[in-house]
Amino acid sequence: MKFNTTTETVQTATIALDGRLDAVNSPALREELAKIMGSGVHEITLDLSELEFVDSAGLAALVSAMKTCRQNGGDLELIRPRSDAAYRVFELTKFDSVFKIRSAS
Amino acid sequence: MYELTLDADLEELRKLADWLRLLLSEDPSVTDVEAEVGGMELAIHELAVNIVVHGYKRSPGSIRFEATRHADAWDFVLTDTAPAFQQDLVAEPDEPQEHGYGLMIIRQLTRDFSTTRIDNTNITRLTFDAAPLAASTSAEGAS
Repeated sequence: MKFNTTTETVQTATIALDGRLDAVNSPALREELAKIMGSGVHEITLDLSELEFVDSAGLAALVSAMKTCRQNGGDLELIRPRSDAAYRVFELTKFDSVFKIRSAS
Repeated sequence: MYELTLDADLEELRKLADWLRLLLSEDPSVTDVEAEVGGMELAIHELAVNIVVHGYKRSPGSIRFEATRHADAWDFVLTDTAPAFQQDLVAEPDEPQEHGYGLMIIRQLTRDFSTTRIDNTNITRLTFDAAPLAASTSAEGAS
C-alpha cells in the first residue's frame, strides 16, 4: 500500500477589537476583513472579548465576513465578549447559535 | 422628565450611553446601572441609527430624546423631522442575513414600541419595564 500524503498550510488571521463595534466603525472593520479575505485568508478569529457594545450594524459586518469565509471553505470564529451587554445582540438575534463562538481563555 | 437633543450623526449617538447612565443613576430602584443601561442603550441606539440612516439619509438634522420614569416603566420619546420612512419595511430575518435586525432587537427589549407622524414630525415611543417604585419615591415627572 502506498500513501500519497499532501500537506497544506492554512493561513489564519486573528483580529482583536475593543471598545464599540457599531454603525460608526463597522465600515472600517468590513474594510479590514475584506483586505484579509482578499489575500486568501478565510480562517479568521475575531477576538471580541474586550468589546463593550455591539449593535446590529456591527453584527452585520460579522455576518458578512462569516458568509464569505464559509463560501471559501473557511470560517469566522468569535471569542465571546466578556461584557454581557455586548453579547446581548448575538442572543437577541439568535446569532449565538450561528457563529462559532468560544470564551476567552 | 429628562431631555437630550443630539445632531443626527452616528458619532453623536454615542453620547446616549452617558445620558442613560445619568438618569438611571437617579432611579432609586436601580442597583446596577451598568446592567440596566445596556438593553436600553441598544434599543434606543438602534432606533436612532434608523432615523439617521433611513430617515435623514445622513443629511443634517437632529433627534430629541425625552425620558420619563413612571411607576413601573421608563418611557422614552424620540422626536425628529426626517422624511417619513416605514419602520416596518425594514426586513426581519428568517435566515442568516446581514440587515434588518434593528427592529427585531427593539421589539424584544421594549414593552411597547410605536411611531406616529404629526405635522412633519416623527414621534417614536419606547417603553421599558422597570422595577416598581415605592409610593414615597415615585418619580413620575421628576427631573
